[in-house]
Amino acid sequence: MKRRVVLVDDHELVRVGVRSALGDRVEVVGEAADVPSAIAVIAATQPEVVLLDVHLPGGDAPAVLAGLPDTSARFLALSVSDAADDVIAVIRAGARGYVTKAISGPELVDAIERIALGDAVFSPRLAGFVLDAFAKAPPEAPDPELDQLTTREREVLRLLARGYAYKEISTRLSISVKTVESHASAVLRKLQLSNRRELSRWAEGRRLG
Amino acid sequence: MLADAPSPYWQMPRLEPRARWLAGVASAIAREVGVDALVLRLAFVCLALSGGVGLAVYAGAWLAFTFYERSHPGRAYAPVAKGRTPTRRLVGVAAVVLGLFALANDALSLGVHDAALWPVGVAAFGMLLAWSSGKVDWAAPFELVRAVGGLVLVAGGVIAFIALNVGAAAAPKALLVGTVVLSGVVLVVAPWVWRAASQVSQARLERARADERAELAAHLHDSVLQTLSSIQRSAGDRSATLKLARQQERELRQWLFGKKPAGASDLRSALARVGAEVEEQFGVPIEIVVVGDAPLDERLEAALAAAREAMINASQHSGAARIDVYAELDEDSFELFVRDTGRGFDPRAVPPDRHGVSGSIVQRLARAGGRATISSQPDSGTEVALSLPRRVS
Repeated sequence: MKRRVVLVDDHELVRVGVRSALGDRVEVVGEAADVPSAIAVIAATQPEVVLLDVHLPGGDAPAVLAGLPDTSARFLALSVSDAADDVIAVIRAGARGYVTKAISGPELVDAIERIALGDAVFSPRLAGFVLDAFAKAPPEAPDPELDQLTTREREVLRLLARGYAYKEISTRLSISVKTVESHASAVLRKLQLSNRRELSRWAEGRRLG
Repeated sequence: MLADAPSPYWQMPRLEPRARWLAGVASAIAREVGVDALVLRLAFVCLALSGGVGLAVYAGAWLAFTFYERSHPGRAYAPVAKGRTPTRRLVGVAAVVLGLFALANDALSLGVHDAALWPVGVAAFGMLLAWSSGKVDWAAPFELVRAVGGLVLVAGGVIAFIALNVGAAAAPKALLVGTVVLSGVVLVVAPWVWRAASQVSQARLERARADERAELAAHLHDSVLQTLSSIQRSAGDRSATLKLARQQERELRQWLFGKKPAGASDLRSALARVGAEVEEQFGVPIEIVVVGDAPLDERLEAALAAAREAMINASQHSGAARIDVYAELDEDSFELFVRDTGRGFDPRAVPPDRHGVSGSIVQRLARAGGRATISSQPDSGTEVALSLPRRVS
């Protein structure tokens, strides 16, 4: 069965491009170009996955997530913006992944499938951001569970940053794909819930990816 | 701010070494007022001869004005504006005011006793002191003292002036009348002055906005519009169009989000530059992710050159649609991976004389004390891994 998807991007050309890159492998049930119409379209169509541009008229991507507290839709940020603070903001608002618009059609379809199943999607860039943000152990870790990455998580992230797919990572680390997925989800959770002050300070200090 | 930048504020006239007879006071005033300097010079001479007032005014102005200094005696004339210290400026202005008043007193027979002149000087000095405190910042005690002290001096000067000229008995009454008149004038004039001032600042804000818009328009014209028209011209040539679009995207991104100037010498920007060059040359997008950063040294530069070679190889031979580059740097080690998902090759089948891989990647890293590993299989892409300890043990 094809995944039901909503596209949110203020540039029509980008929506057309993404639509054609997706082809008929997913079902695009709606499109929106700004925050209010995105909230309306997502509420009306109840898609499985929303492809969400980071910068939108009428508030940025986090405003869409904030406007839909009860939706079952899952969000994948898709953006040309490589600014770390934008990316971290949309992930912390609840998006399950981040990919750049340089992604190929098949890779995007794969990412949508993964998001629909509740997994996390890390582009190499997002993996790099996380490694950078969690690079140093915080001087005082209020919650070590949330504020530090495990060695295994770090290994997974490094392979993601090098451009490997989950399947290749599972082969290289001799663990199952399921385990790779759960590591990725754990990292996403830490990224969303950690109160590390370094995280926001790091994102502010790094305007360019 | 540059010395010659037009400023919305009135500035002290400037003494320029090139256009002076004596100290340049006359020519500085002439430039400001728009009168021939010769006329002013003659006026100064006449005033100096008739009782020395001209000398006082001239000396005072010389103290108060901004003067220029040659920045580099040997080089072309490049004056640097140097302000006088505030105190010297104040003394200078006070001398000018006092001199001019003495002159007016003599010439127009205002009937002020010479003994009454010093309170005027005190009052003038107090006035300047109060004005020169600039914006009155109540948080800065020194500024406050200066403003209040200036006002006290003014008041004292005025009272002394009245007492000396009108007589001590009439002083309170005269002061009262003066205060009432002054308050009336202030009440009438203040709103008008305030409105005028706010209009000026509004105009300045609008001009700043217009400048910003103009700069934005100029930049977009030079970059984006030019590229768009080039793209239209080469619309048939897919790779040329792609290359132009990528190049413009990178440039615009740098302009919008970048802080570092071009040519910065840390690893992050150097790697981005290398990636951009290779991408431009071969038209294969290169995604670069960097964790950590440090200034470049000789060994990092060697690794960078090897990475560049790996990117070129991947662009030329792999046939992949995208190349991923990941670099990680901390105090102990530097690691860099160049990966493609292209056609790959059998490393054992490469003849040993193939210069590209062995010379420019493996040996280069070995010379720098590091190691390069190339792993590839037919049909599953290639990865070049470079690793370099940061400290030579």
